Amino acid sequence: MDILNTPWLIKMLEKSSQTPHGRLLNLFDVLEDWLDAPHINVQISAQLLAKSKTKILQDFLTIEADKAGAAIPEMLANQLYFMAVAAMQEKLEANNHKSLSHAKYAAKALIAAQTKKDFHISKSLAYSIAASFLGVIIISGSWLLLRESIKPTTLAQTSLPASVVAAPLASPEQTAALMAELERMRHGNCQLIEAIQLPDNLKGIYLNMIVNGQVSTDPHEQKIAMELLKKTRCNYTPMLMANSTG
Amino acid sequence: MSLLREKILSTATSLFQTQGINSTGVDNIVAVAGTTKMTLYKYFRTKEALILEVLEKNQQDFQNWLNEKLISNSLKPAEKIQQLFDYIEEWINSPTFIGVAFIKASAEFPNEENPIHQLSSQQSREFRQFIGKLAGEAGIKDPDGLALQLSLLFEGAVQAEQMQRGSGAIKYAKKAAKILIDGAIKS
Repeated sequence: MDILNTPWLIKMLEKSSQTPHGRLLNLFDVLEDWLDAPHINVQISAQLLAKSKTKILQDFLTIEADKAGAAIPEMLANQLYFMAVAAMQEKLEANNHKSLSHAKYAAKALIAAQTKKDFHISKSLAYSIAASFLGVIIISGSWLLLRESIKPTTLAQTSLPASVVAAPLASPEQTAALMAELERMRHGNCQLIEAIQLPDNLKGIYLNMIVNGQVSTDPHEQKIAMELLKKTRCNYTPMLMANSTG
Repeated sequence: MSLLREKILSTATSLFQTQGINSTGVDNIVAVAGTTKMTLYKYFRTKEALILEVLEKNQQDFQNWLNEKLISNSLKPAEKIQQLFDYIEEWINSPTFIGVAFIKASAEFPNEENPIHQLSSQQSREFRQFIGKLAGEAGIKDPDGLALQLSLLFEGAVQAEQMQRGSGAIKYAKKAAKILIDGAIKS
């Protein structure tokens, strides 16, 4: 089966993100998810991957790379394609469960290099690599639902000068609930794969409040943090607990 | 090594890289090398044995060249990994670059049971381990992870370059590698 050149893969990528940047990166998640599905490994081999002759995927990636503002879209598409193939071969041949996550991380840097977008080395990306090792894969369709549910609600306030709007404070109960949830999370190994795709404002809240534990008193930010926490998956097995508290 | 053996080896290296391994017959090699099949088989038992030796020599030559670059420039550990893609870029952009043997061989012999594929995979792993060693010496927390990221960038750029000579793929791979290395050093 020529997995890399199927209409199925293209459809999965098309619906995986609203941005070309996201669709390019999600290639690695979709392929990893597919390889992790039951009974798939027996149908595919590195040999079959290497025999791929058609260019449906490379053509798709070229279009997306162009939309993403790549300096040389076709070249970026080719590089991403070969990186994905090499990572899949590594997973299949060497049973390296982290290969596609690392490929995605490298791809993010490569896209940044070609599009001059900022590349943030963040704990959230490290999270995604750890998560893939545990076989936790989330297609970003679920993330779209989350994003819809946490749209900023302070639009009216932000249209006014900050000096005439008193900043509201979160209630002590709301703050305590968030702190308790964060404290509980520290005793486990937690991942939020979708953090990679968060818009910068949400990523900032995620990193400051959830990763670094710096809880803001802004009720809106706390609400967003709680929503993100609900989507964060944690493993509290004793071994991982020991690692996370070391 | 006898001069004739060396001639056969260098001829085979050049033909494999430019025409492809499967497309290059033994007849072609002996014709270009100016020798006979009998002589070729005296030194190399089979075509497969010749291919394996070509792969080993190519990788050894590349690794020696890279080691020499890293040593002769008296670089500190962190500088070595930071300079790695500069040297790779220099190598890929040189007029004599005709591809990376183990990457080409792996594509031409995709069967995992094939000794040529196995050697290609081993060389790919060894190159990654080499990067991992540099990363470890530079004090990077996850040297194996960074090595995998950099080796994937390397393979992606080389294959793009093999598709289209002068593509400039390595230039962007180098930029990406810098982003990854700088991030790994800081973390």
